[in-house]
Amino acid sequence: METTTTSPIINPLNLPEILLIIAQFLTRKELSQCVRVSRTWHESFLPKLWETLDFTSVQKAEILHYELALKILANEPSRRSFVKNFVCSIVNIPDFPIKFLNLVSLEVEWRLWRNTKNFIDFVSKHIQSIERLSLSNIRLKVPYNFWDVMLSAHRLSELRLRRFHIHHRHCLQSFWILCSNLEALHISKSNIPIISSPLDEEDSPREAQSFSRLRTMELEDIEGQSLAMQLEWIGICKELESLRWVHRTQQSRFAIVINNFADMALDGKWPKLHSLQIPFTDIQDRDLANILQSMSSVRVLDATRSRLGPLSFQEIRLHFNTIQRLELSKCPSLTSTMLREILQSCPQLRTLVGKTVLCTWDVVESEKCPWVCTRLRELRIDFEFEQSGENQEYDRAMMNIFEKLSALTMLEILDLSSVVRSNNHIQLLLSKGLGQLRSLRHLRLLRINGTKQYMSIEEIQWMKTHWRNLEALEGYMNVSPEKNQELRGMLGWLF
Amino acid sequence: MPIILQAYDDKEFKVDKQTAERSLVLKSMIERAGDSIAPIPLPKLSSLVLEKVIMFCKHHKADQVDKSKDYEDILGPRKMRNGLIRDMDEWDKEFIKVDKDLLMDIVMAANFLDIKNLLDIGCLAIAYMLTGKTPEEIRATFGIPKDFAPGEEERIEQEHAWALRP
Repeated sequence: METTTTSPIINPLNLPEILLIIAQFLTRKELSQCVRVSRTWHESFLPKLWETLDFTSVQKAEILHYELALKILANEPSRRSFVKNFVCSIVNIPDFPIKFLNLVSLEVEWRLWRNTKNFIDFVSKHIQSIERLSLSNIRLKVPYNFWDVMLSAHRLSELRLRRFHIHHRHCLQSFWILCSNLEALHISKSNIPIISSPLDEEDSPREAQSFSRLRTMELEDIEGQSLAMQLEWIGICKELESLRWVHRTQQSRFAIVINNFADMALDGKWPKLHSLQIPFTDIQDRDLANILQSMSSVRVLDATRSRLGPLSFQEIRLHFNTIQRLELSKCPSLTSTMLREILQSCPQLRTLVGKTVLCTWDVVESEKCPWVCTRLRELRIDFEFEQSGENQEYDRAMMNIFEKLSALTMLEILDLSSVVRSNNHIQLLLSKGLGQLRSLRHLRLLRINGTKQYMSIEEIQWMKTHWRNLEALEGYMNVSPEKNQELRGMLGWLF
Repeated sequence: MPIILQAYDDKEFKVDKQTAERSLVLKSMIERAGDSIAPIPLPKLSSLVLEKVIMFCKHHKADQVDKSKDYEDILGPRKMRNGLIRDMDEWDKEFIKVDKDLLMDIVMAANFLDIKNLLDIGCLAIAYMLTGKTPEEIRATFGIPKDFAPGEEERIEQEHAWALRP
């Protein structure tokens, strides 16, 4: 090969296309350092740095910085075109007459806009580009024409309302039309008064089309609409893939409605449903089994405080390969054998919440079956030992638990807290095998509330050395208050 | 039929078609040439780098689709970096543990040959090297000249004081 010219060695870190890829892996703080490296870096990292303007929980001392940022936005059109996501809450930012050319997502706490007219102006300006809108409101009146204005947001696909109250009846019509074209709708702790059910449309063609794109729906503690009407509404959404439905009051009423929901599911109302979160329903085992049977795949299930039992568990078994999130706390019929089976069978699992007593002997007996859920990020579970006089047995069980836990190397949250008053909890002691957990390098939160612990300086030293990402340790580390105080002091940066 | 790749020092590497096609550039060359493909000269790649690239492509030759999209779905963009490195399989993690110069060469090669997965992993490794560094340290580490006018860096710093919070 001819090597006549030796081309100068190109540093990939001078190529904008490479820098753009790197940018997506950096935090805001890191990006703010990168823009100061060189001119090429400044140009390459700037769009990513300004992409998300997050004014959440700004301290008083920082407001000056933010006002400066706003001033820059006002003066530099190029910066304005970078902004895609605008989040403001907590801090009282001034109303400002800025237009972001490419704004896609807007998240706002309504009360912060002293002048709601300005807010409507702001939204109107971005109506062509906006795709996601999230509003929370502390019981302030929304101007009557707000939803009429929103009707021209043709790109809007996701709407989130929290503590939001629709007062003006005549804008409800606009609100429904807007909702009926969305892909995702989340409403929580809000009031939507009844004028007409979405079904009462006079012209049928629109009815056939409405809610035909809705794939994700969340209804949490809705006032104004009866549960039956909410069910009717959910029933129209035939493309639904993910549903979260929570109603904390009127539990007995909800139990009846959820029964109807199960019948409708079994009739094939929601053939695409794969994520279902219906906590606090007291739903019967058979109803839950019927719903699960209607789902072609299950990725998420929250059945907290349900009567989940053998029938539903049999259905869950069929989806062990796809399940990513399971929340099964306070289910009186859930057994430790079931939990063990989940841990041994669900390779995709990211979250498992099962605050039900897990007997350690179960785990010991299944010594040869490993836990396959090695992608688990969050595990909330009680380890409760049976009373045993045999100390050796106890130690062996403990070792075994630690060994099983040590395989969950991606764990970020480990919650071992307990409401059961006993002396037989898992003991986080090096002498019992805690050292095996050094593989849990990503652990951020450890909860041991309600368990009796006897940790010493050695254990805390060990945690500080091996769990570098630990941000919080909740609960008593030692039954002696003085000792506990001392250990807390050692941790320092942990609360 | 094996494909022959030539590094700039004339060293030749024989690879199977599936391995070579992890590179979209090579893939289109192979498609155009059909069965009568001549050895492909890669004058920009040293044999050390080419060997490393081939090793990666061989390991991933049976991969279905690009997985990075999936990570983002699961973790959300903010957590993407940590998520990626943890979900990165052990083999990739070991593979990319190389010194800085070789890392730069691999990234250049991945960019030139259009091997998206390799480019992502390389850039992620670079991103990790950037964390916690000041602009001055970044320049020193990667040999990037400071080409700002006097006072320009300070102005940029001021402009982005709001971004310093984590």
